[in-house]
Amino acid sequence: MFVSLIGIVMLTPVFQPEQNAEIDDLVSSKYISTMRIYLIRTIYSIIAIVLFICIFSGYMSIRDCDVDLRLMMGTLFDAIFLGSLGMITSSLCGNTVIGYMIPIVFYTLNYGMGSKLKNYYLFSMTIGKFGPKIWMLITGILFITASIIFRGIRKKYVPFFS
Amino acid sequence: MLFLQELKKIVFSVSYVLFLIVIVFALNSQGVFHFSGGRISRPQPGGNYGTKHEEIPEIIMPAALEGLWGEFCQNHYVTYPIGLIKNVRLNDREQAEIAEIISEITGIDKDTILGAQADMADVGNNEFVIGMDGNMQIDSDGNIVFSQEDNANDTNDITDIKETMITVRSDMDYSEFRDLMQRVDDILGGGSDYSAKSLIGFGTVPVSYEEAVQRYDLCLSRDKITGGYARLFSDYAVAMVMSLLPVFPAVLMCMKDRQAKMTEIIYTRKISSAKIIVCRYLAIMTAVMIPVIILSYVSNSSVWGIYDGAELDYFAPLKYDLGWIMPGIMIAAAVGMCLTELTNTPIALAVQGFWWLLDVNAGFRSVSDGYAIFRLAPRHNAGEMSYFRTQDYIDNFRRLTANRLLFAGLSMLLIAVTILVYEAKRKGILYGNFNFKKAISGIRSRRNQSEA
Amino acid sequence: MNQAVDIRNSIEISNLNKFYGKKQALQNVSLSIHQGMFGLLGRNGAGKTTLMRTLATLLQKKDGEITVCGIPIENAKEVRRIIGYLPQEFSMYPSMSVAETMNYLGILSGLSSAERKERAGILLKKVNLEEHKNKKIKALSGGMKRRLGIAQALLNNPKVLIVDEPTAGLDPEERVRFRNLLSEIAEDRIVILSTHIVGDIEATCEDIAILDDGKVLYNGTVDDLLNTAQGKVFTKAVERQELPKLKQVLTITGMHTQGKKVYVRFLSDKGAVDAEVSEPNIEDAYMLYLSKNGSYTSLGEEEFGGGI
Repeated sequence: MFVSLIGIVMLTPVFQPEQNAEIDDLVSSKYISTMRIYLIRTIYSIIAIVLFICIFSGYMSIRDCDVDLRLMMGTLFDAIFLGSLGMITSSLCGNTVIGYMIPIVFYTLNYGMGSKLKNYYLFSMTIGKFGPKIWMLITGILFITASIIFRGIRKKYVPFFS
Repeated sequence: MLFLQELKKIVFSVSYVLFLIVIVFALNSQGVFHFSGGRISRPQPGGNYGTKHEEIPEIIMPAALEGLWGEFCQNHYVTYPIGLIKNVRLNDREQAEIAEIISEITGIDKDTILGAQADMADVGNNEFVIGMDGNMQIDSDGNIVFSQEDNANDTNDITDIKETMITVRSDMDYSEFRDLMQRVDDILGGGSDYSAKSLIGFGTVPVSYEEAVQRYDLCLSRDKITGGYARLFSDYAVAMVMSLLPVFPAVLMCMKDRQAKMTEIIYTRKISSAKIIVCRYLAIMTAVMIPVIILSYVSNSSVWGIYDGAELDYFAPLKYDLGWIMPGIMIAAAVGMCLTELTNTPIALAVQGFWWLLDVNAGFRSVSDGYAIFRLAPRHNAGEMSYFRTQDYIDNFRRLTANRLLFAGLSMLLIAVTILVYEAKRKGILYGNFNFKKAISGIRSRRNQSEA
Repeated sequence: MNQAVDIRNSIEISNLNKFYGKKQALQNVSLSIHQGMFGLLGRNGAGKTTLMRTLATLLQKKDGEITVCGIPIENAKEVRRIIGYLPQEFSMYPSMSVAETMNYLGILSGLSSAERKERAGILLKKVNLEEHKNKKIKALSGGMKRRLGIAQALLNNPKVLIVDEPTAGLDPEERVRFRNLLSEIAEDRIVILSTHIVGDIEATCEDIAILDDGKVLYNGTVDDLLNTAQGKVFTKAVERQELPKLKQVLTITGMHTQGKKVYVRFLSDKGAVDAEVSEPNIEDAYMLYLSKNGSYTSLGEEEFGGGI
């Protein structure tokens, strides 16, 4: 339930090194496009999330808890969604700390609002529903894609953000 | 003057706007701007007034036994040792101990119990089967549903045992029962429903008409109605957001100097570290409290019209804002500032987040847990349906006061630490060698900057 | 009487040692800095910034004594009252305007509202930023930021101004303007200027110290420094092909090409054949000190402005 928080930790800081304007200028002027760099970072962050979930699940099963692939996948999709919230916020605001705020608050709301979140309820598996996880995976991927694209093109097309 | 400048820095920023939106959204999700209960009115005889928990042995003992038997059969116990849910499975030796305890309670032979458990466990993992005269399942809304089953025609051994097991030994003494249950809790590693202080949770009794009237009268006399709503607002506000969110403006504020590369220009100025830190802290508190006070009045005033003519306490929201909510904001902001200045990283977000997570899981278990002295977010969580449970609030008021004062005091302590850390950084006692790493790479490089 | 006046208006450093872990950043540094412009010359990593930051109360010394206008450095609060510091790398809140920044920093300097307004107005005028006072920091050029840096350092009318590599990255015109500004400021206070650009020293300083590897190699007036290099600087015309060989044997301090010939300027203790004695400049003297102390290794021609 709280394992999915690792998504916030791993994915939100993908844009952090380029928060500094000078580094951003330097990196943006290189041959390799920044979007590719962000994509690489995103991929290895997701790999790290998967590893973390596997290790944690391994530990849980050693301690005689019921862990199955479904549970692990659901947690992974949750983590990706939470992380993607962080990515899109930090991408739009240019600040990683603000980026952390949205997914953390979303997580806290799941305690209060619960099933009202319907297809975006993080703890849906406790009531036996896996459907929301698919929604979250798809939305997560969309957010990640949007945040990377935005970060890549903003200098050219959006003077306000540069 | 510095205070106003710092306040300006916070308020005129994108992050603050986002912060406000998040607070409004989060509070709205709790329904505090449109209380759904409708006007509370004097209870009429013959109605349903909800339930409460009382330490009535005749009710507690069978209910607790039933709960224990169910978990014992599946060897699946749910506990909350540190506030987060933990699913416990016991080994053979431990299960035997539990069987022994059940044997003592029911008077049935231990081996028979173990045998019955082995049979019951074959029923399957996906069904929650408790007790002999009912099946417990979880429906699609996440509610636990009891459905009655008629086992009267079943004549095999297990049924016989089941039918006998329901009962607690007639000569069972309640204090002995409590001790036995505490042993169960110890075996389970703590945090179960069977611990001495949680046992009362099994003592569900309906609220009587007289009690309901008493509650209603208290609500009018002590809470003056608005107090109850204000309390509900504070409960949700602090639990859901205000014990966590203020850490964000605090972290942002402290990281701003470093990000703008202004630290040294500020460090070498005449102003004392105490003044800088205190002004910044007060600015954060103000920036967070003002919207909270406004929102608390928006929430509270939404019911003023409904209670036209009644005697209302219009200062109730303010009292709760300052007494209940403010210490929560104080501690979150103080943790944010202290850890950020200490580490130059936003680790405070993780620390406060983790504390919030533990706390929110621990606080909902019972009324006394809700008012525990170290509770970051005190819980009362009683709305119109229970007439705001004013008596519980009054009973726990002292503890609440102690709790809130403790957190206010802790916050000030953290701010004092922050001042010391800041001064140490200014003098190079802390992080003084940091720049050396930059300098050393300059030694190795022999490239000059060119003269034009 | 003179002594007493001196201490109240000078910085006295004696036997200052500073370590970064095992590495000694400052070794037995002793200096006496008086009113006017004082130059601190040295290579990257020589310890200039460390010394300046120690004077600015930003670093702790291991041992030694420092007094700033009579105030021991341990009394950080009092020292901060009378100093202004412009670090090498700095910036300001990007979304604040020039005027707002001056106001904010003025509050941090303990100035009253009236004082802030007055001082900010005068200083912005002095550094030629008055017409840009409503511009946001992120919209300022590098040179403008530096000038704002000086202005903010002078807000509290400090007795001591510590400026760390102020002209790095400025264009020639801005650099000249900056030097003039500093000279003006140095008329009635102590200004300590650290740089590795010799031209800065030449233009403005009377007294200098050369730091290398944490040690003071030279401390005195510019004139005396030049005298030490008198008769040791030579110029010779050579063919371009000879250059690589010459670089191996001579301590070259400058070159310029004219047609097919290259005029090489070099140092020699023992005199030189077929070479003219030249009037030494600060750069020559500086190189002489570095080479004498074994710190000077072979230099590439690109390190001198007049090279290829």
